[in-house]
Amino acid sequence: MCIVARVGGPNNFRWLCLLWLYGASLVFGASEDQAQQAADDFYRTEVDPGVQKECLSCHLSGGVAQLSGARFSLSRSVEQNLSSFKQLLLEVDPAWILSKASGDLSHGGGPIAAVGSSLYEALSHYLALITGGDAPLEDAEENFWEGTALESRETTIRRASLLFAGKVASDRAINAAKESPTELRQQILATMEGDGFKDFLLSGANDRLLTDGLMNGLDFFISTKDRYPQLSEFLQTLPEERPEKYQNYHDKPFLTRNDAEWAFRWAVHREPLELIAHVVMNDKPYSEVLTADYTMVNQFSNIAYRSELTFDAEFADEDGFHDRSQFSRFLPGSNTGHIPHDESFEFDNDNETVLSFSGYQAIPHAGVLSTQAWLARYPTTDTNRNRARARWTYFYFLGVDIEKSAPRTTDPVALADTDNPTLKNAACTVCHERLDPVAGAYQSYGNNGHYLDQFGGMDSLSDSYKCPECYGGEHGSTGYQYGDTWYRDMRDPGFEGDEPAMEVDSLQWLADSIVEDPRFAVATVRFWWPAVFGSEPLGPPQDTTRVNFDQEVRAYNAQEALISSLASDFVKNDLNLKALLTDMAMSKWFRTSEFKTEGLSDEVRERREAELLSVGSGRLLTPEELDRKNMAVFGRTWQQWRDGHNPHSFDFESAFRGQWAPYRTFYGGIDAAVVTARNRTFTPLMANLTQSMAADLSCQVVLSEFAKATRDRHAFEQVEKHTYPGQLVDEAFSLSGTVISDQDWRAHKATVSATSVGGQALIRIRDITRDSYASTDGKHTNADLIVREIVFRQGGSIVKRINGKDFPALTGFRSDTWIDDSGRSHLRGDVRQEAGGWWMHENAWIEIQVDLAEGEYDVELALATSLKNNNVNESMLAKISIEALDNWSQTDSSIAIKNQVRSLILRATNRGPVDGELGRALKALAAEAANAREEGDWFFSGESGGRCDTHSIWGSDDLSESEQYHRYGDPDGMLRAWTMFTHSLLTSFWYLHD
Amino acid sequence: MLRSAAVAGVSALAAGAGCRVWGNADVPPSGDHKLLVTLQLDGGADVTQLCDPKVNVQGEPKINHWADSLDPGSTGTIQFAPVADNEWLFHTFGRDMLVINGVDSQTNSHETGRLFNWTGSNAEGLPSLTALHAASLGADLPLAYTVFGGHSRTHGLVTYNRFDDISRISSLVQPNVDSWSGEEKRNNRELKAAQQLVEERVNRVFSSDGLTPRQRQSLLRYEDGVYGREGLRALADILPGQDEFAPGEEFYGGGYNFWSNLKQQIQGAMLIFKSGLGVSADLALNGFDTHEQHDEAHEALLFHLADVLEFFWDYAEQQGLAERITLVIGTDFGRTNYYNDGNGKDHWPIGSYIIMERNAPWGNRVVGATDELHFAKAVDPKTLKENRNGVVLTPAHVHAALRDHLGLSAIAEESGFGLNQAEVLPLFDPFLGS
Repeated sequence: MCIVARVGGPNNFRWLCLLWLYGASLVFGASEDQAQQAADDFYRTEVDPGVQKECLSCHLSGGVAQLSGARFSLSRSVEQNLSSFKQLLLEVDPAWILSKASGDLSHGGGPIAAVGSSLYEALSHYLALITGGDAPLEDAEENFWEGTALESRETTIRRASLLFAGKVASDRAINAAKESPTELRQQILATMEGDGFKDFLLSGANDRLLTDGLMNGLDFFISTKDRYPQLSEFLQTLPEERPEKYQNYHDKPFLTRNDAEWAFRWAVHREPLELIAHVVMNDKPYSEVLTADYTMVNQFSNIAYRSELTFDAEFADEDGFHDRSQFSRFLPGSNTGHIPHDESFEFDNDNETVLSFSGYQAIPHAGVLSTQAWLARYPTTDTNRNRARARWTYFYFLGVDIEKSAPRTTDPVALADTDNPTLKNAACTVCHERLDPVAGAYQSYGNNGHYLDQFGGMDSLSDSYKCPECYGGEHGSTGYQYGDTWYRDMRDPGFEGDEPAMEVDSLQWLADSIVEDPRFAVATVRFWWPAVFGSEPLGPPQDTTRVNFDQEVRAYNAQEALISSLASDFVKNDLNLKALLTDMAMSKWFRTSEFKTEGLSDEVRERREAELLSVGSGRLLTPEELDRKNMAVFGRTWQQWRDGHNPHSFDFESAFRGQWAPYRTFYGGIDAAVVTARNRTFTPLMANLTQSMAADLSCQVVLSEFAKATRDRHAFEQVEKHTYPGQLVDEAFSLSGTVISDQDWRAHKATVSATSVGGQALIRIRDITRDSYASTDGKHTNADLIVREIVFRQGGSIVKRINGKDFPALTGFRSDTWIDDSGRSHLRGDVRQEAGGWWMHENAWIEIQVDLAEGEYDVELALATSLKNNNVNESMLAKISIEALDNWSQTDSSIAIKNQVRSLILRATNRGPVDGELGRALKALAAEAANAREEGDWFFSGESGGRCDTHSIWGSDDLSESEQYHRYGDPDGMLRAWTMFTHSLLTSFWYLHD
Repeated sequence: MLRSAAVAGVSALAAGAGCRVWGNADVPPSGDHKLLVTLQLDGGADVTQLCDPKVNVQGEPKINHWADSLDPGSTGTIQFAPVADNEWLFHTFGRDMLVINGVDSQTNSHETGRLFNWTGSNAEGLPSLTALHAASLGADLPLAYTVFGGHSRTHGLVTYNRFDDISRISSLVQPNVDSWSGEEKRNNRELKAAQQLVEERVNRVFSSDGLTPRQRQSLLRYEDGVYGREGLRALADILPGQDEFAPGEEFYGGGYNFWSNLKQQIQGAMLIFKSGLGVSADLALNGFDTHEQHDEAHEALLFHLADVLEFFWDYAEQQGLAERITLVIGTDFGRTNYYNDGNGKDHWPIGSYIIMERNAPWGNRVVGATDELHFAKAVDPKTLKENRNGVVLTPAHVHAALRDHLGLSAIAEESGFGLNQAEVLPLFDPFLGS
């Protein structure tokens, strides 16, 4: 490794090596010849393989590079390439070569060896050796991060917790993370457990493997009944149709044969993702995703595969109904239930059962690679011969995109060549010599992924190859010989020049070879890059004429340096993926949240902004991430049915997640079938979706939260629904006793304590008795509240006395009203001398204003009730509230609400409120609560009042009026106010972005 | 000015603070500007069974089974393969078609082929033609560029909206209307109060120091989205009932089961155009990657294609849009000039485009050429006649000519998305042909 500096101007720079550490002993103290020999040897073993892989396709003699004027020519000969490098060094200096390799100096092929990559380092080391020790390495990160700053450790643990665990970080975790970077790392690592982390893994892996596409419309032509006798036998025990008597029952699905077969297919499609999740969650080396000698099995595939595992759940209840959500539990197991189709095989098509077969096959598991879902997602054909599988194997597990490695070398003449061009024509072999041996390693698997699927169960070779004359070809034109398992007109199964021994399974051998390849670790970083950083890894810039080509190269090089470093640590950590994910979340690429532009010229600023465009926080959340965030922050999500457990679905179902997820792709998500790349840019349509989500979800969140005990809530833990801004007193009293006549009344006394913040205060007294008009005998009844007197005491002395008879004369007096047919408004109450106060109609209210100096008060209420003895109630409920009109933001209630707002903002956006934000929120809440109060004391009051799909929360509950009032009563308007505020949070920028 | 110079360039990132009045987006009235649609025949269509018919050559592998008994058909100067409904298709629409044959996509890779054919470059870095058109005519429109399927690249030039299920379009454009009851979910007062809080938060974020480029770009996109969403109401006003959307269609051929919602895609695109909210759209028909049982599969697909093109122009006519639309039909690449062992055809770099406009003065013409074995021939860059020393057409040439035809060349250059190595050939000159 060389720590370097670039000196000189932009057009005449040179590299200055400040410290050279790597391999110096090879040079120092050796003779010139020895040093030359060491350099050549190093080139042969460490450099040329990479050069042949990355450079040859263009720099082959007569290739694209030469046609474009490049002077550097390569071949398949190591010695010729060595000579070419030496020749080139007579004309240019090492820095020039390295700059070209990393994409600088208008390199036509863009960066093919990014700074920090193994090829770059090997090449630079070789150049140092051959030129006597000056190592012209560039520090990829030089100045790249200049002007940037990291977010706080609290913000990082909050983001990481939501990302990995789908949870809001606990106070304990936050406090620990604040301590030090080491603690932060520990806390990030600790998020990686539980169902939330598993969801992250499944979603991230599916983004790459796209195996969920098999459930979303792609052909999934695996055979079930005729390949898995145990399954077909099990299916026979189930009814074909749902019994007539249950036709109208839809709470649970009935387990029919088709249903069970579909459940098996679902289990099969899920295997590769479950395997990856299993390996990671159990801290196994990540290499096991390819080398596992088992697969993942649920209750249905356990039968088909004869895995002999034990599961707790019954398939169905006594009536035959089942709950699909119980079958998403997978365990490691083997597939020993597959059978060949051969002379012994006999299948009863009418009853769909296997009558006889020769024996079971034991699938030689090779992790993901041998799962039927992987093989079916990348099916092959008689002419493709596993090449698509090989292409994606290279792409996902070695980070090599073979298609892009030769974008323009396909010559029509070569394509017209019918003499086995992939084996013989140089224009084709450039890719196929790498691709075809890996295709061969899949030799045991047929077009749709079945093991040794051809008749006889000995191979998976196509019939048209074995018997060309049967398909219109020439007799004798095939090279096939009995017992072959691979095509003789293709390269032998292998990998990068090596071949498996005869006795081993070639796919298992391939998996072992891949995980031993240093590119596996790098490919793993790339595989998980989008899941963590929210964007595809940058590809090597290709178009040298692009305005920002240089910036793209710098960003790419910085990224590659990080990838290389992450991969290196991944290897050191025994391929533990949790450690890798933690390293990614600790990196600047994840944590950068600030970029200062002061002092930069416009030109420099624009360049720097182009370089940093994919760095740090601020990306749009995916629909799945948004869904998980809804759950984490608010306890439920959009279009969630009840608690999210749905017997009709194997997975959690909502608008954005699950099998149906009706709005997932509209919000930029993928179905892994037709839509395979995420749209990560916010659009007007998405803005509408967030509005729709907020309109549906905000009220559900608020109603369900306040219906719970405080300790059981997710978000609203610091207030009750009766807590409103400026509140000094909010208490209810039960006033017992009935009377015989409508004109009679019974007196009551009540006292409350209040702390005034000084100034005007609003006193509101409300009759909140439920079922006031309901009688026990069906006759007219009565339930009225009378306010006779309000007395304020301080230290036992009366400081203010207000008589109910005087209410109408008081400034600020207001009463509940009713409107007659002609539209005239009337008060719902009046002064009655005989009762000594203001007599209210059922459920009416009054308000008066008083001026109270700052201090403590006892407030005595002289009330009376006229509750007729045929009323269903035996007592009435009265509520008194006192609200500060001056200095209201200083009340305890306002402070509690501000704390609640702060907490909500922090939970929802991972950032604290900025100056003035709490005050504005408080005012908005107070205004909305006041408006809602005007419309009535129910959440649903008012002509255009609150609507809410509460059926999705509670189903069809049969509630008494008082139970309904407990849930939906909103006398202070705060349910509506919090709904408004929650709506604003759900649609805010930082809620929707990471 | 180009709204998103930003992306590539970035100056708008620094331009910063949002000062729009939210929810008051003016929807531009429908004008007479061009509307651009691409129809992507995904997988690599065999153009020798469509618009570049090839008969078998003695001594060479068979190129087309149909040529055993049939000759190519023709209408005007256009020749076509006598399979599926091609005869009807070309006789009906030939006068509105420019056929560009012998286009060398220089690859047999699907990824690269799609990239080249729909951006004009086989290297990453250019936006799709439709994205460029949207940026030119309607970057501020909420549905300027809509993707119903196929390959798309925006490179930040304009945002795109993806529609997979047209039946949900109604609920998407009226988010506060309960789809069951038709009633509003939240009252306007509450919505305004919530919106006010959101807007205040955005303004605070915008005015904060030290936003990263990523944050600022996301913020701009967010503001654009919120700003543009009100305009979606214009679409709600013209949406037909659910039962007026064409159902998905299933058809079979060569052992393949095909399913297509292409007619729905067309309806979605046309309705968006009619609402004035968008100017370009990508449509796709999948299934052309027929490595086995090629003829049967292609015939089924080509029957469907003819049916869909009739629907396309009829529906455009009904919506009063037919005179404004440019339709570009293309594919990843072609298919081999011989059958493989499975009666399929593999990948072949030479393909074709069909450009359609109603009453196009340059219609009923063929430019570009291939030889009898479907190798591309070079043409003179001025006369377009075959010329050994001329140029072999590539998608870059087609895109350069289309950009010129649609008036996109200047904006592409300004945005740093020029086609540097492709000269503009006179493909749309009505007096030239190959």
